[in-house]
Amino acid sequence: MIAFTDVRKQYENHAALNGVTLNVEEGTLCVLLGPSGCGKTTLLRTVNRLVDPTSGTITVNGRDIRNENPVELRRGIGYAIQSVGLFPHRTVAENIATTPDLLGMPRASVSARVDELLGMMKLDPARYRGRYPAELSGGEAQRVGVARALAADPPILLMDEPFGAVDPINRAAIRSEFLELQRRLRKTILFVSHDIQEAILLADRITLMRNGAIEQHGTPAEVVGSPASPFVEEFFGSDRQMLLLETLRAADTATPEALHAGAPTIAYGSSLRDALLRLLADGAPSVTVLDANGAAMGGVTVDSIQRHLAARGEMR
Amino acid sequence: MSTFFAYIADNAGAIGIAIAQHIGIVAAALAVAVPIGIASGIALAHARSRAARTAVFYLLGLGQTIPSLALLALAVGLLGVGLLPAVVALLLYAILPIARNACTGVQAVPEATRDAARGLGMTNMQIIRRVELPLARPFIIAGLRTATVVTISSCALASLIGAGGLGDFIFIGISLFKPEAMFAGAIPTAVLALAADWFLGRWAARGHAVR
Amino acid sequence: MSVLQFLQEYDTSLLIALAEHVRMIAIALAIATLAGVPLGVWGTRNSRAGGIVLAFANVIQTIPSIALFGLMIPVLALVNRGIGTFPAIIALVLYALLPIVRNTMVSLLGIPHATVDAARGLGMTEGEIFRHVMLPLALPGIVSGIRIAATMSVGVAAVAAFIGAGGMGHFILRGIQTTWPMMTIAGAVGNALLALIVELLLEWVERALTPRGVRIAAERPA
Repeated sequence: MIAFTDVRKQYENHAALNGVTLNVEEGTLCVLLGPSGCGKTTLLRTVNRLVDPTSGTITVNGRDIRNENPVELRRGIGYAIQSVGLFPHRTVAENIATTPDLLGMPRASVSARVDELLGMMKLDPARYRGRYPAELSGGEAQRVGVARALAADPPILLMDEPFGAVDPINRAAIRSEFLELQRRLRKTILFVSHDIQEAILLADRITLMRNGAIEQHGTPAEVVGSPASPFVEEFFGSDRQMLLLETLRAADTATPEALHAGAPTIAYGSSLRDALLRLLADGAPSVTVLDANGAAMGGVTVDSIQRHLAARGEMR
Repeated sequence: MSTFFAYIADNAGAIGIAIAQHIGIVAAALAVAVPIGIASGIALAHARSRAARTAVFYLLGLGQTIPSLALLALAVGLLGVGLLPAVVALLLYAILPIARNACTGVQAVPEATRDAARGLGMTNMQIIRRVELPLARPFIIAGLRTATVVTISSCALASLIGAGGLGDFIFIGISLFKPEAMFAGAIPTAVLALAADWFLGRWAARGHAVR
Repeated sequence: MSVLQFLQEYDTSLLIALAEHVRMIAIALAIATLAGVPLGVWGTRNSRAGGIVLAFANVIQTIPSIALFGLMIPVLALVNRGIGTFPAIIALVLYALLPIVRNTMVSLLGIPHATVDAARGLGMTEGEIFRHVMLPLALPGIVSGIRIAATMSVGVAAVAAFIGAGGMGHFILRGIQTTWPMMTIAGAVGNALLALIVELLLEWVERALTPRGVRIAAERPA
């Protein structure tokens, strides 16, 4: 768990962090969202002491990081950044092995670990181990960057727009692969993004920041559905209602009464937005939500979506 | 110190003539080298074969590694002593950096810019004059700066092959061990080189500000 | 006298001149590298100091070599070292500093910020960052500075013959003094060849020291 208590960072002529208090629970992914210059990257960089706060306390698993040696602290925390920062003179395998090597892990187990991580990232070890960063596409480089961050199996990951430099099609693929991975690994992740879609897809919690302070913190549905301030409402823009549907799971609305034989089906994890789009596209009166095993668990109709939103009292 | 000033006072006329000669030789060499250098640089940038372009560009660089004294010595060996061999050697040497920089500058012009100019109906000559040359200007001035400093410097050696200039005083000073003569030659030479470097550096910087 | 006869008669003195020439350059480059690389590293950490060092080196560089010798002789004569290899090596070191310091600074500053940030974030110590990331990436650029300094030194060392430092320049000087073209040309050609060999040799070293991954990146423009 990462806990920030009244963290401030004052630079010569501006305050980057204005008293941030935030808890990131173990095993959750918290997205720091906000306009550029809001302090999200600075906040992220305080955790592995690339930035030392002017005042306030940060604890990782209950230990005040001020008492930790920065270098050792960093070796225990994964770190992936937008421009990837792969070492151009080292092969993919050598890049991934950076932290394990620094920790002095035995060579054979490092090598096995590299293969395992490449496999996790859907990169064939035989083909990619010996390549240099210059021989990778943008998407491949970012996968290697994430693999490098995971290499020493750190419980905590810091990710600063790790998928920012990829084209939209590949970005979507990497994101969903990463989400799948996180469901398995359950790391504690602090994730900087300025992409609302990305935040809604990945986040267990969204922390929306502005001018070095937290504007709102909560689940995606809470933040999108019940904006705490005009700024938050405006940040999500005219799209907010659609985004809210995206944060709500169709499975939570589905009822057996709304089941219709022959209705189109959607998968268990689908959002209400997926359900609505399906209803519109197929012109069907309802869609059937399947459970994890592929059995029909209930139906969703336009009416049930409206009722669900009305019950939440969030649609203004 | 006093001997130095006495020497200057006694030889003021001769020093003045040497400075004028020095500037004259440099100016003559550059007057020929600049147009040839820029033209060949542009031509090189437009050469069809990429391999030939790279090879010539590399050879121009390699030529710059030949010491100027060696070049002057070759000139005297082949053309004899005097002003003409000196000017020929200096101007050949000056062409190299000018051509290289002009070529780099023209190649740095984005293909899209050239394409737009063509699309607006410019002829090839118009593209060179109105698009490439202005955009390559900082590079060309940088080449001119290198060439000028190198020529002022080499010209001091050219006195050895009978071309005159400030080198005369330096060499007299060295061979007779007369520090005042050395200073009378060395100080103006150094000042000339530093001044040329400074002025051309300012000129190049001004070009940047406009862009 | 034919070229062949000339070479036969003067083979020993040509070789001695060559050895003197190479020795001067090697000593000067070794000193300039040992001083210039740390100065360059310092210059990247302290930009004020870097600016001052570069400005100073730039002024020295602009002063014509024969003028620098002319200025140095009377000064060094005060300690009885006005002529010979001593002032020659001092001048060579001063000239060699600029390209070495400048290239060291440019190469180190040219390393992408993200690469260093990632290294630090992954838990490298400052020493490890320098050894494992910055130095290997900057090395080809630093060697390139040494190469520029070396070829320049070949020329300056030739001029040093005028202050009695020996070397290939001595042949040029004697040839001109005795109006014997053969001797002048021998010195000139030898001098030019030496410059070219030094250039090609160090170009090769530079390529050999360029990490494979960096070479691939350079050959594949984005």
